[in-house]
Amino acid sequence: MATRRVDTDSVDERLVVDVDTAVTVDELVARAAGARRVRIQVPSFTDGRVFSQVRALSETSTFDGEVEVHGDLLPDQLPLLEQYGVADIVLENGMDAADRPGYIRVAYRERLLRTMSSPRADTESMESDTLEKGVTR
Amino acid sequence: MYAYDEFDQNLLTRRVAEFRQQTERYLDGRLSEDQFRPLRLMNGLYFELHAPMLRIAIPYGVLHADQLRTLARIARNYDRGFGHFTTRQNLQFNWPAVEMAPDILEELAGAQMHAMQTSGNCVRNITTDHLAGIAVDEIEDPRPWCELIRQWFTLHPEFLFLPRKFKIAVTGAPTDRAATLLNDIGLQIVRGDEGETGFRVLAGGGLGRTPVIGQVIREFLPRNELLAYLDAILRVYNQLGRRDNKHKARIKILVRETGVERFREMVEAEWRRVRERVPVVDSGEFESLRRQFALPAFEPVVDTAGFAARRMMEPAFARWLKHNTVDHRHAGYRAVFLSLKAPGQAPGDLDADRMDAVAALAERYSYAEIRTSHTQNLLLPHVRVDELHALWNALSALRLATPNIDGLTDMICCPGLDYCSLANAHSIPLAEEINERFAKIDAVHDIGELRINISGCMNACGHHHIGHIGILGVDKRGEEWYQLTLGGSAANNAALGERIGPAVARDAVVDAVDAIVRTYLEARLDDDEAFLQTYRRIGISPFKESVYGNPTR
Ligand code: SF4
Repeated sequence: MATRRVDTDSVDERLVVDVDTAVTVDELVARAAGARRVRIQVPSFTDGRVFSQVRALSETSTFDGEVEVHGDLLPDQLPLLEQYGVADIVLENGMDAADRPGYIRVAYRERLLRTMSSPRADTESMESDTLEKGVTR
Repeated sequence: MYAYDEFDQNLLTRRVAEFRQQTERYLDGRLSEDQFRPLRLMNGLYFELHAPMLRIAIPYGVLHADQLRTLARIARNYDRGFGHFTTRQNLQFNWPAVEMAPDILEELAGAQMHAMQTSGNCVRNITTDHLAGIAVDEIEDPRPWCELIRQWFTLHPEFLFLPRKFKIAVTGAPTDRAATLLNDIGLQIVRGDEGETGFRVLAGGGLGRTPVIGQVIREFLPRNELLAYLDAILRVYNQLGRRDNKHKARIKILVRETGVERFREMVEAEWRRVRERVPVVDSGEFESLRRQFALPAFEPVVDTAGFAARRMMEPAFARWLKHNTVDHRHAGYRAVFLSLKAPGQAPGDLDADRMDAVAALAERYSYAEIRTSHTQNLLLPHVRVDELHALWNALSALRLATPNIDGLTDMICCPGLDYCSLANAHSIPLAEEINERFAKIDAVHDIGELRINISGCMNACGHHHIGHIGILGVDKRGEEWYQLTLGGSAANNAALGERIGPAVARDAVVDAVDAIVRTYLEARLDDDEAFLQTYRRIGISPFKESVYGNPTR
């Protein structure tokens, strides 16, 4: 989980952040702030934490760099990562990325995000009466 | 009934093509056994003791007659001529060939059915009240919400590789027939201060090795926040659920280990983050989804005199009416249970010929609709009162009219040693023996509501913890023994059963159940006091004595 400053004399002095899947979304978002690139190492294709990580990175406003995921991944998992804007994916288990089935581009979620949703008009009132309830930090 | 549009159909077709490609890669060695596992499970395909098993989704337990015929055809062509209805309202085929699984899925897709996410470490099919839409006490039909949740979590890229399986149940009625206290997330539709509906959200319930009753994490969630809030719960679970030990990976362990207060804080914090991106459910769009679940246009039923007369004259018919039919929201109609627990039949099994016959009866008597229940029975949900007698006759001829719904012989029973590699016990033969012993006694004494649940091992697929009488197979030095529990329940006042004493040997189980039932029959105040009420009134001691004798040490 080392964080290192890229040794370059280019203008882009921003960080490359290396993490594994054990880093929580909160911590990852904090560490990624302003970084140029976040690289996530996945120890096993059954470890789905990476999907929460890449989603959070794609949705935070404090990180606009690139995400790289490498490790033990199935070709079948590539579309899931790509949906969250992951730029580079490296399979480090000898599997062939070209084996991805590639039939499904859009599932319900994308459609629902387009159709089954209207903007929140009530954000202010929600903040005061329900959102803060029970949050005691 | 919910009908697929082009989008649904297209997605399903592509999903089948994808699974066909994955199966090919497995068969030609490009995917190892381990690599194929999550992919096949997400498509409902298990590898069991003797053969693969394919679990097919019956969303919210609703089937059209044509869909049941499709299942019958698949049972004939790809299996051994029957299917098995599960406690999560699905259907399992126990003998398909792996190579044929993509073909089966393709046939299913042709009938707007699928096996997506019926297994694996993802959000499973959503379950609900088998009386949804017709229950007399219902606040709101939960099925449109189930469908919305199903769509949202189908191939949701964040949540396909969770620490463990994830089950969501929704009830729209105050009487909980969906076991919302015993799911990873339970949603209860409730009314808010201004009469608007929203959800009480429970989390962390479940059976299995460590049974836990779910806890309320939010008393009232505005309805249009549902998807964002569910995403938040899943996000917390996906990050923090244990991945080091499969037996500790369910959300109930996370809730227990973090404490419900802290868990709630984390969910609410995540919700604030997620809701920036997951917009509210649009009420106009939701309305069009809801219209898909509109009830049929019922005709008024005028001639009920003939029905009343028959009920008076024919005690067998009256008995069936009492046990196997329930009130319907619409006057002049009743919902009819078809018992899949006739003596000598494995609980929940139905052969292809009778599937076809039930489909025909559904068309004739119930607007072509069939439901599946959590108790592994079927329902014809909308039957005119003046047609009940004819239906009863037809069901009797099919051996689907055993008047035992919610009774002692309406047992829930896991596959046990006959199919399952983990089992310690032959659950099905035991269920048959109990059925034989009690069929007559029940007819004489009218034992009433008494649920028996049998699991072949501590994984608890037969939900023994929530049986009024629970029976668990245990291994004692290579022999089959049975641990009995009393007083479990999955209803509103959910409770886990209490152990009655040491395990009993195989040849003593049926006698032990017999002793428990006789103790109840002697102690009940009247015929209307059900087993669970008597048990809660008099406690476990009298039952203990009846099974193990009076402690005279
Ligand atoms: S309870 Fe045990 S024996 Fe029964 S089906 Fe489940 S794992 Fe198999």
